[in-house]
Amino acid sequence: MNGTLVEIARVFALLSLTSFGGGNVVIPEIQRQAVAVHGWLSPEAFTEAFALSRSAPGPSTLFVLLVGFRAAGRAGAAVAVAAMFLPGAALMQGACAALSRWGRRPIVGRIVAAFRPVTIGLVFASAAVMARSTLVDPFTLAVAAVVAAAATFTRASLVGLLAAAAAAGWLAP
Amino acid sequence: MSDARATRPEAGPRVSLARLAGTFALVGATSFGGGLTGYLRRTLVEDRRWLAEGEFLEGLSVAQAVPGPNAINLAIFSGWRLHGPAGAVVAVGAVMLVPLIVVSALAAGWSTWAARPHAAGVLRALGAFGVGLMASSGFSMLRAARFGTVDLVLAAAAFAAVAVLHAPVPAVLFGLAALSALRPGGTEAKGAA
Repeated sequence: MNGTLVEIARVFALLSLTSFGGGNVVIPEIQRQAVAVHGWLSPEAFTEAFALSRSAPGPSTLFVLLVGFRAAGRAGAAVAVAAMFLPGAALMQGACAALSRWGRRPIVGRIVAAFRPVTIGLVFASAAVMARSTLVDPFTLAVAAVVAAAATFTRASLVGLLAAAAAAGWLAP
Repeated sequence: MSDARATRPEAGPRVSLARLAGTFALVGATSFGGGLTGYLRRTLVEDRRWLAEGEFLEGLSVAQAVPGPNAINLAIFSGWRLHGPAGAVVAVGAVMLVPLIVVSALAAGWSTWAARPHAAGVLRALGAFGVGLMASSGFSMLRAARFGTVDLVLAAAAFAAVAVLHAPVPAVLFGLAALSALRPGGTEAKGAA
């Protein structure tokens, strides 16, 4: 049990520190570690956990809570979440401290600016990757198109749009 | 979008910790369908107007370059800009609060409301909502960034490499950012400053 907790902490902390570009980057590696390397859960349970987590709000990486829970109960869940989120969050705090200290130097502005086009390209890429598993029929395509247009061109409230989409989903065949 | 406050986070808190906590908790609680980044942009830049568009893009760029989920890093960046280091801690805690409770409840039950027919329909719609919001974030940022040809080519290359060619994201991110930094003339003229 304790050995398992240590392994969970080690695996997820390492993934947290290597997930450059966002959490989705490491999901295949989470699967490899949790299913193939450590056998914490079956491939079917992994897929189920991932699908289940999509019914909750929040970042997609939060599904590591379910993986940790399957591996070692409540303690496993807590350790998985802490290991997956805290190391990266500490680095980001450090980056913000550095930015507030040196952010006005031209070289720093230049480095950050160099990322801007790539950042925007990756936002579209993540929309496209999400779309592949989500926009599966005319209904979902229509919802995504209406939301994209409404959010870009109107000042419609986010929660209002969300409620409208949920209501449409409830009524849809 | 290069107003002075964007480069002067030390100028004092822009927002109280209580408002910060309330806003980030609401975003966290309603961010269904993935794409929490899109919810943060819509709320912080458009609804609350706490961050300038250029400042948000700067935050997202840093969030991607530092390891960890983008939305979490972005919450830390935004919280820091709005209320210093304490704001960063409050923002990330607040945005995670409800999702942590919900996913813990799912773990305890390990069953799913999503299996009910109507709920499945709602989930499909919320997934589509997340995609639409993410695309809208991209369009809005692109419009505000006023990119030249080279920037547009770099953005298209990053999109195609990941979405079409399935190249590894870190390699695309750092490879293209290096190219972007090395190009003649650089980007500092309309940079994030």
